[in-house]
Amino acid sequence: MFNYILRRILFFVPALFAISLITFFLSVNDPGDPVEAMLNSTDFSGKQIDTKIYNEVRRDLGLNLPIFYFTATSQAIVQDAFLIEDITKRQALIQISHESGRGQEAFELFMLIERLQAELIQKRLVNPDHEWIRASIDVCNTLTSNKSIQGSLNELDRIQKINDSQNMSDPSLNAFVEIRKRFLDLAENHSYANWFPKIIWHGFSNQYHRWASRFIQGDMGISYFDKRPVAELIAEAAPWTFLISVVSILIAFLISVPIGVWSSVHRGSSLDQGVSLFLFFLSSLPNFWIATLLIIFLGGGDYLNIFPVHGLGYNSTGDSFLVRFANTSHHLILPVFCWTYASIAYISRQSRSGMLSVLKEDYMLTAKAKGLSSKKVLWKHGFRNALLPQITLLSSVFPLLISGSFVLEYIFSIPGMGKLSYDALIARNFPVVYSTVMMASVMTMLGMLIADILYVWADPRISFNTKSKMK
Amino acid sequence: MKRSIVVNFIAILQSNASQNRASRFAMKGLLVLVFMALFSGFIANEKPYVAVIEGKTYFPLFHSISEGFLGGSYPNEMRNFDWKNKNADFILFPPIPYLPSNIDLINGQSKSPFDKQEVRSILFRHWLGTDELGRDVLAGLVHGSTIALKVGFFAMTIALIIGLLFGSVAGFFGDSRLSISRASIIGLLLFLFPSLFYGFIFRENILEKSLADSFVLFFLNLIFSIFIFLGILFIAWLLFKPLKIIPFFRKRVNLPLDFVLMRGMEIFTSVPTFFLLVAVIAVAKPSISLVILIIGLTSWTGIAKYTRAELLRIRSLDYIESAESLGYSHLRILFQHALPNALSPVIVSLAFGISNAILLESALSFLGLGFPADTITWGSMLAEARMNSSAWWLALFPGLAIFFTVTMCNFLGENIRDEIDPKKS
Repeated sequence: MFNYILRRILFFVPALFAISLITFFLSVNDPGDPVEAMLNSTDFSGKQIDTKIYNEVRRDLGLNLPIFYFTATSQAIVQDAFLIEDITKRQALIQISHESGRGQEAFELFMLIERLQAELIQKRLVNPDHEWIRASIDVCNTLTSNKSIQGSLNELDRIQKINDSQNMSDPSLNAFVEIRKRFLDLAENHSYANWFPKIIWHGFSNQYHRWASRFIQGDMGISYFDKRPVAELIAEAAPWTFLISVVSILIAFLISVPIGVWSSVHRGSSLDQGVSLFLFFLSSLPNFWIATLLIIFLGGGDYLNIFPVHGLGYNSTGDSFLVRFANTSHHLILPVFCWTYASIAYISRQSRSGMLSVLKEDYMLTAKAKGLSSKKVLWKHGFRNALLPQITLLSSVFPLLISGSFVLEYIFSIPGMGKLSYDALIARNFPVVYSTVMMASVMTMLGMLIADILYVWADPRISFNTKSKMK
Repeated sequence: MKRSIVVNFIAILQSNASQNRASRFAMKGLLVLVFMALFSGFIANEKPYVAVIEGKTYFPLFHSISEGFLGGSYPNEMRNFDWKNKNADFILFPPIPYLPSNIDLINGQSKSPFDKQEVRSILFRHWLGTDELGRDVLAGLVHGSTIALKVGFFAMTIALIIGLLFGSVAGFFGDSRLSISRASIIGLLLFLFPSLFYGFIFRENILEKSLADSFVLFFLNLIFSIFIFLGILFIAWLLFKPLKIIPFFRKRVNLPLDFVLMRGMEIFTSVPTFFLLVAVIAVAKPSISLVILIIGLTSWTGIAKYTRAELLRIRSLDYIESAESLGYSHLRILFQHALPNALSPVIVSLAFGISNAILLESALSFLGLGFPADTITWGSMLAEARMNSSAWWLALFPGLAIFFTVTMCNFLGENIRDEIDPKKS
């Protein structure tokens, strides 16, 4: 048995690795800019963010590093291109190198434009209102961010027109002419270097390694939005989800198992048929619909106003435990109800079918023939064997203990893990997203493992060898 | 091959339906729903079927729909006519004379079905009420059914194809039946990186640009990339065939297909699917094809598991053995003989899968994800109801529609499962 468990746990590692890769790459392709999000979230004055501060925050977050240990590209692209800090410029350079096939020339061209831009910025400090200088700086910016050579050529034509109309004479003009010549050269002389592959090895200083090594040591990073450590956010949110899930699972099992057993014993009676039909409908009700209906009819609004609808209630610190308990439970009644009713329907049907298959067995007949009371027969002999499917059910709800339900927590504004993950996904708050995804995956895999172990423990006829063959 | 699978499906559905009154009812209900979804443009629309104005007869609704297909010769001044306010000699509107996006501010601020409504005649009454902007709820229900059924049906088709493919290959070949010569292994490994490069990395820009433009284009590009990838591997395989002259390279090695695919499925089921849905949808451009694809790609594991279990059972049966001794190729045996008999649990899985997909789609549109901003679906109407907590009709009717559809599919699934269960008493 230990062998089996060990093998399963060993499999966690590559599985988690694969999942972290998937999440990581989904987030990297995201169009938002986390540095801006971080800086803007405290500074609403809307002024231009100083480049130095921008770069510093960027370096802190590790966003200037390459993404992964290696990059597979074509021969056309130069290694230095991946060290450019600005992501739009990096992508533009890669695009243009790919299009023309001449990475080295494209890189040098970009460096030229950057130098020109720096010169012009110096000039602007001296002469801040000079329109030509400002326009040229903008053009330089566009040239290095433009993903197509044709677009850059159009930009250059445009500034040429402005220049002609205003009759300027400035030394930077010659620089633009040179730049134009080089762009044309890139556009016309195409090299086939981009048909050949190349792998650039970045070593261990890359974003993924940075994140992974910290995560393994327990440092889950800092939320972009709040600037609080992610571990703290999770520690605050998890207990609520855990509380609701545990309470609802307990209630669900306590109610459904007896119902299941009862209906299997009274099978075929009209009451049983009615109950089965009712349970079937109950399991098909969408939980967010019931939640919305409950809010409309029983919560605030024009109808009955019995239950509070949002959040968990306000408790002052001086309140006694009983007051806080009553307040919180009052808020939790609706969410727990919505969480539970679907499980009740599902679990009672499972336990009913489990009991039905057990009742047909010969040993039940034997026990009755021996003269045992029907209660003893039912509970002592039958019920224990019907427990098996319930155990596997229990393990399938294991992941929900941590990840919660997005939709229900969203509707009821409960500050649990589900709401945390959802808000983080929408706000592109990636440290939180990574951590919650990893935790949810770990819980899912743990749940499957525990289900298998419990299955073997409950039924001694199944050993791990036959089980793995059955799987 | 294809025909026998389809015939099998229909036969199982029909045999079940005739035996059980309740499941016949469920099938009829679903047929009504499908009809409503297919013809939603004709049932609820703002343009009339036929209008006679000053002696000239027009067919606006048919014109605009055929315009969508064939390109039109529609008289230009008729294009944005407000047919409702026209004085016509004879005019015939569809039963629900509104599109779900028609804003009717006179009846805005959420009229309940029971309130007095200011409409020109009883034909124009909003039978199920309106929302804040005066959009008709009944029209929303009808058009929402199109989206729901589209998502359910096409997502499960994708899941079916992938699930059947992987499940049958994993179940039939197991760990020890598919073997490959060492020469081919060397060839494939050597050419793996180039094929990845030319299929995906070389085409990176094209793929990125088409992802931003239109999802269908991206999907086609992706298929083409996969094609290039497989093509180069195929060429590699052909190239290395001559190497088999040397006995060392001729030796065949077993491919542990089952092990690899099962691990892959485990990883797939470990990723919280709702998470993956929300993550991808938050990143990519919202469109219905994206929703369909993502739901399809996350739902295939159930079907794969059932197919695999069935095939593990079937492959030791006699008729497979006799087919093998007749010399049929593995592929032919798999797809022509084994797979069609493995389909019964798959149909059950399909029924539940469709209901699950519809639930997922409405949950996603409830959260506001995945669809372009103005799309009216059942879930989006529920979300409006949440904002507007006194408008009970906005919550009740779309939810009933979802409930009805999901119940019908679940009911069918349950009945078929009871029918084919060998332990039926």
